[in-house]
Amino acid sequence: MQLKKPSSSLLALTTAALALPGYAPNAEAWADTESDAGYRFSFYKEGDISAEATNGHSSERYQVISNQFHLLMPRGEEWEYAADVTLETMSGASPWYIVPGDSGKPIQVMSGASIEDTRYALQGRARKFREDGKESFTASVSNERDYLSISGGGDVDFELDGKRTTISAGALYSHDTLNPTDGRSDRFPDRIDHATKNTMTAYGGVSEILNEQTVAQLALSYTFSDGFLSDPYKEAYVAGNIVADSRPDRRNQFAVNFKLRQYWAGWKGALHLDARYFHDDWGVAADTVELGWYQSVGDSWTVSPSVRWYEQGHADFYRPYYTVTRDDGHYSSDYRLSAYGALAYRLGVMDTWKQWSFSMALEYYDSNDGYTLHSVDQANPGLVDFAVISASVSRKF
Amino acid sequence: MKRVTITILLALAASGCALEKVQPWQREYLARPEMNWDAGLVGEQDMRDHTYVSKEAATGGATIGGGGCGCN
Amino acid sequence: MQIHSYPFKAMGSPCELKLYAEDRAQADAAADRATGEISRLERVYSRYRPDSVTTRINRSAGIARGVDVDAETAGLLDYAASAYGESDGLFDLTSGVLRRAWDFRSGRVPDRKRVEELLPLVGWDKIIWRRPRIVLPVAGMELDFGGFVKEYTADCAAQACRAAGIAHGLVDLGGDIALIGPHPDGSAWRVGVQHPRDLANAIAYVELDQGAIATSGDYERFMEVDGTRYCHILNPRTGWPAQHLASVSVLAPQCLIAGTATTIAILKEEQGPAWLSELGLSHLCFERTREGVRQC
Repeated sequence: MQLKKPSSSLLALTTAALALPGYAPNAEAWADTESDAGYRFSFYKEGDISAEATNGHSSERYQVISNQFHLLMPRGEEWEYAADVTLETMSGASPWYIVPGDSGKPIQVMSGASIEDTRYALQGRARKFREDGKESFTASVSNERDYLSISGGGDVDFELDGKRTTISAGALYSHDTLNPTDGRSDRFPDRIDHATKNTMTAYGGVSEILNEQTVAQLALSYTFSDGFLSDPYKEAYVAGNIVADSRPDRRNQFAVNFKLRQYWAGWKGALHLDARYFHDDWGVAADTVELGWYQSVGDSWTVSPSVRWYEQGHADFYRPYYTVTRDDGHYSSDYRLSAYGALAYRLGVMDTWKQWSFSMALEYYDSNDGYTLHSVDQANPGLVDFAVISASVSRKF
Repeated sequence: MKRVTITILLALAASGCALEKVQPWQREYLARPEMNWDAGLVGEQDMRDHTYVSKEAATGGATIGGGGCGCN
Repeated sequence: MQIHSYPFKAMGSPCELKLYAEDRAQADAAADRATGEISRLERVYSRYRPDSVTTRINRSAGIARGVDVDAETAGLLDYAASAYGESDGLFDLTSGVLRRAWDFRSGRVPDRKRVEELLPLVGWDKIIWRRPRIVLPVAGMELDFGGFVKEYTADCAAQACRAAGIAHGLVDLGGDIALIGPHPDGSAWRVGVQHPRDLANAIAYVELDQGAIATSGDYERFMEVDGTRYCHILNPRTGWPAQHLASVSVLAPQCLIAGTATTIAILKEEQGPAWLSELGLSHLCFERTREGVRQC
């Protein structure tokens, strides 16, 4: 390369260029801190069911030990890939069916055997950023001894009006295969041994920046399920007989979701409000309100207490036990279709240090028919309380 | 219980009367991690949603979670 | 000493690292550092990523407070300011906004009015840059680092290889090439310059034993409408594409400078080659003719 006499222009450009860090003679490799890997451990344990509820001995219920691994990798100018792996072991006894006791009081019968099962799940996501939003595609698989779920979906965001408003929409399709343990066995001749279920969910939402400290989001979602929607391990007492839990083979669910996040600069904290109204064609209506406060402490800590209130009404065909048969043949005494309320209290703590982040959280969930706004005829004896303790660590690299 | 949702919407509309033209530079507060929709780490919100969906009748949010499971 | 080749795709182009190393392990380690640098810069200056410097700056357009930038971005802005001055305003980081009028995939030439509407948002002289604070005073203004980050990245990647102990090799990012060093025997690299009309072939070969070469032309992103070619190199003063030069290659000690010089030369149209000579850099220019191209 024959360099002619460099002009003053060239000298000016060269001087400016050489001031850049990329030309420093001992240029150290810049820390490439955009990828992220994390691990979360969580221990979920349900409170024992009382001797009073079972008219006999108190019994241990369910517990789940969960390990989650997360990896996030940006690629190039536009793409980002994420993978999540979950390994869970579940064990314990569950509610089985309810029988009428003295004066018609419902008595919970628990599944005697303590089952132990392991669940593996893998979820992958690819996300592409655009100047005015983004789109994502996800696919996941969850497998346990008696249940396989495969799902896929996508979502898209559009930012409008100087990025003040974001419109988002998404859809997910899931195909589940059930192979209940001991199906069609001598011990459980009425229990199915194979079934499938399909679920389609779609949602649309709008989020808006209201002012410099506040954002809010409103979303509507609709889910359609068909196939085997009952619980193969549960039964119901129907006029002296014990029959298999049998719910309709279709379900339409609707939810309206509202979220608010507001920063209080004087307090260095953020207020979180989440509310949801749910309704389905099985007759269940439910309200959820969660209020949380995220307090900044020092340079790197965040402490977040929160409270969540939940209530639901019962499904049309639900009864703790049935004294007459139903024309439609639907029976379920699962507490999850009964009327009840729950209050959950949670405390979380987070810290960051260099490329590391840590968090710990403790949550206590308490169900009671007294927590509902409407009155409940008869509480399901199988209502559950649980506690979760979880901890996570993640690192940018 | 439609009352709950309606009350919230009214409160929003009231505070919304202060709908200023937010200049993008003013988004410093909004960019803080504690202002995220999901402010937890390592899929914390997904995990919590999964637990609630297994133990309650209601589902549905503004995101698409993973698929189902046989959670009892 | 053997040569190790690492082809990959980045910044929208086919790229390659050619490294001489004592062993494969050393070459791999250097390639990792270099591709790490390339990924980093691709992400940090991406127009799309919500967490990139570009997005942060562009979202602050519209008010006096602006944003503070890091040392590297400050260095790039200082360089851009210098290039703006040395090019009579033709090298302009704010011209990216003209993209909104020019959609080369549509095959449609925009309305003159549409282009004129965007011109008030263009103009580095309107930006307030006082290190480390950058202010884009009018909402809708944006900075586009795409015009020179690729060449800077080639230099950074070459430097990363040197820091990893490589003394001979080159970094090729889609035709923008930064040398790490000549072949181990001291001989020069023979580099082909893409033919602006016959894209599979070279129009010329250049011998380089140090420094860098960058090439720009009207064949990278363009559309042909009614026999006229409109390319992606837009004049920030008129909003319209350069019309005269088909391809310009410049040799300079830094790829960043070589790249800047090619862009300015193309925008100087007929005066391009003379400007390059006056600048004092070796170059190769090809101008459009009715039949194809001709060396200037």
